[in-house]
Amino acid sequence: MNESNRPEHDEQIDAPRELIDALADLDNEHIFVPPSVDEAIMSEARRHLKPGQASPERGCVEDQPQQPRRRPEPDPSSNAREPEAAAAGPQSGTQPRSSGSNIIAWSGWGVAIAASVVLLVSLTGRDPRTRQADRTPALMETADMAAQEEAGASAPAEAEAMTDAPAAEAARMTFAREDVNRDNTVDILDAFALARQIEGAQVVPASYDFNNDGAIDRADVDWVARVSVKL
Amino acid sequence: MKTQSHTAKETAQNRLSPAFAALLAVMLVWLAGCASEETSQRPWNSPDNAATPTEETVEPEVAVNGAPGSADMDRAMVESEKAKVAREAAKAAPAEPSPKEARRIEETQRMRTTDAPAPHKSELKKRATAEAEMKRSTAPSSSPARNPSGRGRFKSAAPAGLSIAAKPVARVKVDPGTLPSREEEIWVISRLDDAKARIASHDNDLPICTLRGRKGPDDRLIPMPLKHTDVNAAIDGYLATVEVTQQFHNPFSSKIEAVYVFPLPQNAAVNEFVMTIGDRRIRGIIREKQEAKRIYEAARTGGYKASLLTQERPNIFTQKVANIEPGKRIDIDLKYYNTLAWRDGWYEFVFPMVVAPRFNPAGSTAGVGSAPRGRHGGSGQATEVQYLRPKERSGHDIMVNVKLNAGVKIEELHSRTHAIAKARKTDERYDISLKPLDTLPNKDFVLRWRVTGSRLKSNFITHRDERSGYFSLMLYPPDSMKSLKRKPMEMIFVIDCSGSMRDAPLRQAKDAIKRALNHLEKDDTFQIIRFSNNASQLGGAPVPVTSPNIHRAKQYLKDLNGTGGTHMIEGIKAALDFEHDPRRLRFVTFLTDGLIGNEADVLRAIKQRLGATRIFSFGVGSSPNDYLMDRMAKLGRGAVAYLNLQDSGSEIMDRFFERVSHPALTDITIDWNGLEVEEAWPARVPDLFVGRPLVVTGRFAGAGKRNIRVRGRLANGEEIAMDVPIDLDNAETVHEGLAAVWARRKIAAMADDAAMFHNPELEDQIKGLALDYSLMSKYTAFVAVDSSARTAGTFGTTVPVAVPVPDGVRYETTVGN
Amino acid sequence: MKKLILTLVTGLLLAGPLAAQRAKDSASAVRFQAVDIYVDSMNQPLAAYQIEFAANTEAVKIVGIEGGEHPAYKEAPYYDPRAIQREQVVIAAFNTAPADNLPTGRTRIATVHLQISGDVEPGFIARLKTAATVQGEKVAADVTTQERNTND
Repeated sequence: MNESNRPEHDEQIDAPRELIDALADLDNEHIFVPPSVDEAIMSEARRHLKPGQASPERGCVEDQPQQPRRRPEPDPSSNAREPEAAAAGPQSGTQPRSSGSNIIAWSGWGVAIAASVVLLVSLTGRDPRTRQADRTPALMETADMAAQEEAGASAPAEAEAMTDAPAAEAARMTFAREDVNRDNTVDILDAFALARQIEGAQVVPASYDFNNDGAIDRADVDWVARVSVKL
Repeated sequence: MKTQSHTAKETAQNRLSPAFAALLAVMLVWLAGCASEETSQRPWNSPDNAATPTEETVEPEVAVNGAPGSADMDRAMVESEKAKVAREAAKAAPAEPSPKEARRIEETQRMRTTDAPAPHKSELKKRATAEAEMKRSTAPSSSPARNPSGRGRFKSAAPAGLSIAAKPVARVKVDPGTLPSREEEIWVISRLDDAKARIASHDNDLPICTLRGRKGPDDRLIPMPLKHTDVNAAIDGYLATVEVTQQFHNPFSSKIEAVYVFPLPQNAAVNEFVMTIGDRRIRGIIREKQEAKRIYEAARTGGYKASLLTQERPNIFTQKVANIEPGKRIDIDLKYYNTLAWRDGWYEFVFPMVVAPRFNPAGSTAGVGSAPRGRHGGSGQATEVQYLRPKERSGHDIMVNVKLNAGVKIEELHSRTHAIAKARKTDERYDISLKPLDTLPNKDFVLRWRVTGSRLKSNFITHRDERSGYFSLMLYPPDSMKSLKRKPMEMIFVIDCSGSMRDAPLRQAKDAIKRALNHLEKDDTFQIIRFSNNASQLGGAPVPVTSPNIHRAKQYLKDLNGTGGTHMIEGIKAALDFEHDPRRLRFVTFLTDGLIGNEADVLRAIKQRLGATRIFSFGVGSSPNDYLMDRMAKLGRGAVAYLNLQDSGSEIMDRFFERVSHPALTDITIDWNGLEVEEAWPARVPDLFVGRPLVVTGRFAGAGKRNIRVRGRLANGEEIAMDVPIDLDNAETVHEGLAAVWARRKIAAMADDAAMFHNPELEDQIKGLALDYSLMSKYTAFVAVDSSARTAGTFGTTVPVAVPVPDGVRYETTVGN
Repeated sequence: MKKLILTLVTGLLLAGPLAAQRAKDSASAVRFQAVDIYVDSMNQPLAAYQIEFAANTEAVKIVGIEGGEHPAYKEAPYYDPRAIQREQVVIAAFNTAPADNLPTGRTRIATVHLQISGDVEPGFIARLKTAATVQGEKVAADVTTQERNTND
């Protein structure tokens, strides 16, 4: 969302100041979301929206990808009304309502905005892998482990720093020797990363000569793999 | 989906309720079940089984999808018929059919053979080509390809679902153009003249006319569950990585358990074990031995396909494969590493192929016994090898492929034991394979090569893994030792005159001693001791080297014959239990095949009596007990040499005397120059003789280049030193098998002590080390179970794989005795 | 004659239950179970995975490790042989082949062969530690285990 796309009536919202400030600050945050995470989210979304699901819901989600629906049997009437409610401002008032019931109207707005804030915060304010875990039950355990391993990386400030100066940050951090992909975890992905570098004839740092034999080869990949599967 | 185990007994019991009738029925079923189990645990061809219903189920499969009338099927049918007749005959004479019935068998065989259309020569060629093509297409690739998880592991060597029983292929691969006439099809024992001619010409690539392993017209083909063995070795310097695939199949019509006792080099570090069923590869797990056995037995009785690899001796293993269904095949892949020997200027790769019959003194039960095929338990020993009788052949053949990278230019390369094909890749690299006509596994495969400068460029190899750094150092004797004169010596020859040494081996041993007598000098003394059931000797004490004494000794040798048992301890007592003359170096030289089962007793006896004596062991025959030979020499700080049947005893003795004609470098110490070395083996560095290197294997920490210094003392007291440059960061000196080799050496050292002296702590230490390094040992075993499906019925009949007696060993004087 | 019948009946009465117990013991003491491990990487090609596998009881022993169904993971995966002595294992594998040669969706990546002692009904824990795409990027994936019916 940029400035020009912001609805004009936003300025006229008679909402609590803190809420307005919070919403305004959302635009200023630069959250780094790796493309792989985006892709994972999209693939997850596509998985849930694969053919065979109710077309009205699918259409709804495609229009508003931030709010994928998961109800298996949506109520057609509410399905029709909700978009209207979301789009309606206090003045437009397409919903029939009793005159003078401002309290109810503002309450509706409050709920809608609060829901938006919660949704946005949940989407942008946490570790990307934790977000995946929310969607994939099997990943929850992984995320728990990863969350401990990457506690620093999950904080927005550090994420921003990584975006701005990843090389400098990486240089500051201490990694295990076998942590080839520098994610603070020694696992099979490190062996995989090293194998890809070797196969891709890339320049491989001399520090990856784990067995000190003067060559970086399959034996070093096996070294990392063996370390990664140790309990 | 919980697995439920049901037995016939349980099922029967569950279904019957009324008290007395049910109990009666249960008793009957139970008794029947016990009887069935007992019967099925006997070997299929045991005479005890001859008249049992189980026997009916072991007839060779005749027609699954093979063409009727194929040579194999004919043989199978003949065997089937023979089995039937033999069963009838067994009622009267359980051990062997009577002459009358034997004639009936032969008559049946002739009829069957006549009925079957003889394959045309072109058809034979086609089959041989097809078989060769199949082997090519299924041969393991040395390239790890693009399979990261594979890491160059074994590949499946067999197409899925291959029905061995029905496969219509010739048993022996035939080179087109060298197809012999039927008259030539004889089972020829390796000829010394042929071997010499091949060696002399240095041209092993030429086709030879010796038809080894070929079934002769009078030979019987005995169906066996082991069909083929593939050996793929990669040699890098003096370290070999060897992958062995044993193809088990079931040529019978009911389930079987195959039991195969086989040899491996005594320093083999076996650390991978994979069971392949079709295209599925199940990696075995190293377990404490008794636990592995329990797992295997439970799987076997439960009807699961399973395999178990146990070590009986450091160089003898037992492979069991359970629940092989009729016509099906299960492959077992092993991988081991071992350091190679350097003997008299030649590097040597040895792959043993058959366990030779061994003598076990009366009263011993823990040895390795030998029994005729079908006489299960006949030896009374814990481990038993069954041997094919003369004129019997199994279909088992072997292929050996070696990729040799010597690291320096190879000057000479040959095998005296087998016909080989060799392809030169570079000056340093050769690919070697067995000739198709020399694939009968009845003698050790020995490949030798000599390199430029008589030593390898890299004699210090390393490996690092996440646990430690490992090294192996091969030290060569300094040239300066050759110029010094030796001290007078007291030479004791101990010659094995047991039945297994009869004929060629004994002749070789005599030749070697005669030659040695000519090398003795006037200040020396000598003695000759013979042993079989007892020991006797030339004189009451070592005699001086005089012409009459030499003449008397040669006459004494001439009168020696091979007969009786191998009571080696008698020879040891006679050789070591007399007073030593301190003015002379005492050498005791054993000339024996070492085919005994009580190695521990022998080694203990040597250790207790050794004193200042140096022991040299000469392994004689085509399959000597290299474990015992090496251990004797190691204990006695001496050396070992092997006299193959194709070797000249005189030549070997000449080399031996050349070696002992120079003093050894003693009191050796190694200054590692800052390298952090720990747990180096052997713990006590032995003497260094001319012509024989010293190998030290250990763990280290450190990096970079440096010189290590080896110091030692010559016979005249002079101290000499030599520097060995090492480079710890050189990729060319890295070998991944070193961790296993080091662990194996440590286990061997501990096992030597454990074998001789009871120490429960040692057992636990060995077990722990073996489990840590996934290594076979006396206390650990590999087990693999395919729990994904149960086979139908009971667990089938146990079929020991009978093997031929080694080339040059007489069946009558060993197994048949 | 009466004595003989009496002896026979008594013998049967005693031997019957003993035989039944023997049969039951041998049948229920030990059994074997194959547990297939599946990874579902959705529509992403699975280029690497790492899974921790264990049973929730000490009555389970690992007696074999087998690779998966897809050619890319046919070989048995990396594992720590020493950890197997404690009946738990981390298995991992990767393949640098192009995406076309890698499995997508739900695929069996390994089978663990087990021996189970006693009448326990063990549960199995398979945790995905990581999974990745061809580019080495972590990917969402489900891990499931399925016990194979070996009575067939």
